[in-house]
Amino acid sequence: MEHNPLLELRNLTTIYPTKRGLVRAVDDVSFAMERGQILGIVGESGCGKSTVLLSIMRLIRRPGRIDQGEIQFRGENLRDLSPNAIRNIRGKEISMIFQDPLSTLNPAYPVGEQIRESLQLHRVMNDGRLRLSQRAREKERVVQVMTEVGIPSPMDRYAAYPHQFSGGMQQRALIAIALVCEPALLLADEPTTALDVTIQAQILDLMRRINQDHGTSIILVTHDLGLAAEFCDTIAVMYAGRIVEQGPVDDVVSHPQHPYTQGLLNCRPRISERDLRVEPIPGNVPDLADLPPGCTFAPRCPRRQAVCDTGPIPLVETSMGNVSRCLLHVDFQREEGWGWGDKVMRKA
Amino acid sequence: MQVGRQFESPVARQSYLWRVRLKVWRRNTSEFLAELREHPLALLGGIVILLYVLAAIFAPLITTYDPVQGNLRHRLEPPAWHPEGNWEHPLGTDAQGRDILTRIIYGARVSLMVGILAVSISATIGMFLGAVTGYYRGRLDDVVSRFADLLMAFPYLIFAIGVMAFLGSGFINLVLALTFKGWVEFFRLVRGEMMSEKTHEYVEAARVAGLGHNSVIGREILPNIIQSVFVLATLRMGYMIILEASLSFLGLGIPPKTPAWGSMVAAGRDYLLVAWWVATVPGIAILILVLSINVFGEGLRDILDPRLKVE
Repeated sequence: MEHNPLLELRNLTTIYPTKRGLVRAVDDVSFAMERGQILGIVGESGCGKSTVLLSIMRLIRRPGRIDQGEIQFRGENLRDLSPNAIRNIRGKEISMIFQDPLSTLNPAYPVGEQIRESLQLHRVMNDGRLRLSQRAREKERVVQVMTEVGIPSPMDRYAAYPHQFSGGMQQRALIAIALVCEPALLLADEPTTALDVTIQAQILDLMRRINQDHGTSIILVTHDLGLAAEFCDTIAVMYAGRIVEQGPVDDVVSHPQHPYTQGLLNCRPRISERDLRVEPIPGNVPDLADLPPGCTFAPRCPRRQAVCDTGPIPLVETSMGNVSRCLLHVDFQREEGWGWGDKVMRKA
Repeated sequence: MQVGRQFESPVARQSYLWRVRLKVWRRNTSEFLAELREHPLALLGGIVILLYVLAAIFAPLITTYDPVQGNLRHRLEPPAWHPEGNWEHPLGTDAQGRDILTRIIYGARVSLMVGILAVSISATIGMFLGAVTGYYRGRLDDVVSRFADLLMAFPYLIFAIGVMAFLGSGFINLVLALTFKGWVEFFRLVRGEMMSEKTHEYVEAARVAGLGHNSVIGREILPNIIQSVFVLATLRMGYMIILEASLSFLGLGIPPKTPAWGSMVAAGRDYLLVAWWVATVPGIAILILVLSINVFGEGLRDILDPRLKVE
């Protein structure tokens, strides 16, 4: 049998038409991940990392839409599924957790009921046994999940409302909602950004345990490269809708190949090196409706060359095992006399 | 892992669940009453409304007089506290010798029924249209919103008078005339709330969990809006009752034979100098009921918002 990865994106492009022109929020993104793997997507705000997740879920709000590419999940293309079929995948096979747990929980329902809703919706506990006891079995499962994610005295907490929970507990409840149907893939959109550091560590710990115990694959979207470095197996760095560097976590963090990744690592404050100054990346993220013609990072790049402004830049395999979207890895000197554009197109 | 209680049979489990449910319901009710106690005015309003409702339901048990057939020998008798009054007719009699208290009690039936029906129909229509247009927007939203704007341009009373003149008087027509424009308020409220609630992340989370759009509207968003609808409904109820009385006063509401507060005031107008109570007492009945409803509605607003609750 042909081997299928759990999830594979091929040339995914998601666009938003705006008054000032077409915005490619996600541009030609490809990656594959195996069962049990943790992938980190890192980038500044507005670089399209959340849009990748929403595209996988097929929840891009109109007028935005997925323009090109495939989303292969367990061997079927999610883009081809009917609205009903995709609804059966959402929450059951692929779940998602969000940044701000309080606004993600519905204020009108007790937390336990919100966790149970997924079970009810996907009829997980509906095994043809007595209808009357189904609700009770669902509740037992909810309490079990609440225990698993570390909500103390879950029996009493079942009927509590979201605003009666602390921030960390809310995020645990949210994770419980995502996990109650035992999904194969968990999409985490900045799950720890709204929490303080100690709680952050607990939540990450919880997610790692879930990953180990159930073999749940996780895509972690974050702006914190350090956090991703600690937590993920592979990392994809995104800039202006494109993946600029991708590879195993150790390679990306210890030998960053793309100047943007290097910049991200440099602007991280480190406790051990107090005298070392934090170096911010100069300039701002470019306007997505009006991108520079060549490398999108070129205007902010400390190692910019004249060639950076011509033509699209391909993802290039580097000597370190990661791929990087930078012309530094292309040996121009040897092929002098060629048009840079030609060279680049061939590599692509 | 074994969690939760063990039961010998599904029936035992189910009976346990019912007992728990009953307990929760009792706790919620007593919580509501406890909170109501902290708003003494609202509590008072609630009690007065309850008295009106009970009186309307049990009218024949409370009073033995006929609300329609008068006794001409007892015309224009003053109320009990008047030097010439007596306790036979505690609030006096009108020009045809009918007991005013009796007519007020029977009149409460009309006012309350019209108020409840008009408000609940308006609220249902307004909520449905508001929820659908506020969530989906689009062409339907444009059409319904412009129509609502159009209705808003007419003063309510003038509009109702026009509709009544067109439809003719009668109970059903009265309710219709009031709902024709009454739904607009609810529509605008729910549409606005829907548009703001729609942007909250829990809506997206519900979609992520696999809910369809209609379930998101009905099961996720509406429960967060419903308390505002309740509050608006109580406040509008008072207004509807006043409108009903105004229409009856003008002779456009309930046909003359049925006792209604508005027509009682109208009938007593001619006797204001000789028998002031004939017109005044029904007016005070309207005043007390509407005031109670408004005070109760405002208390409700403070109590019902789950986001204001802090433990």
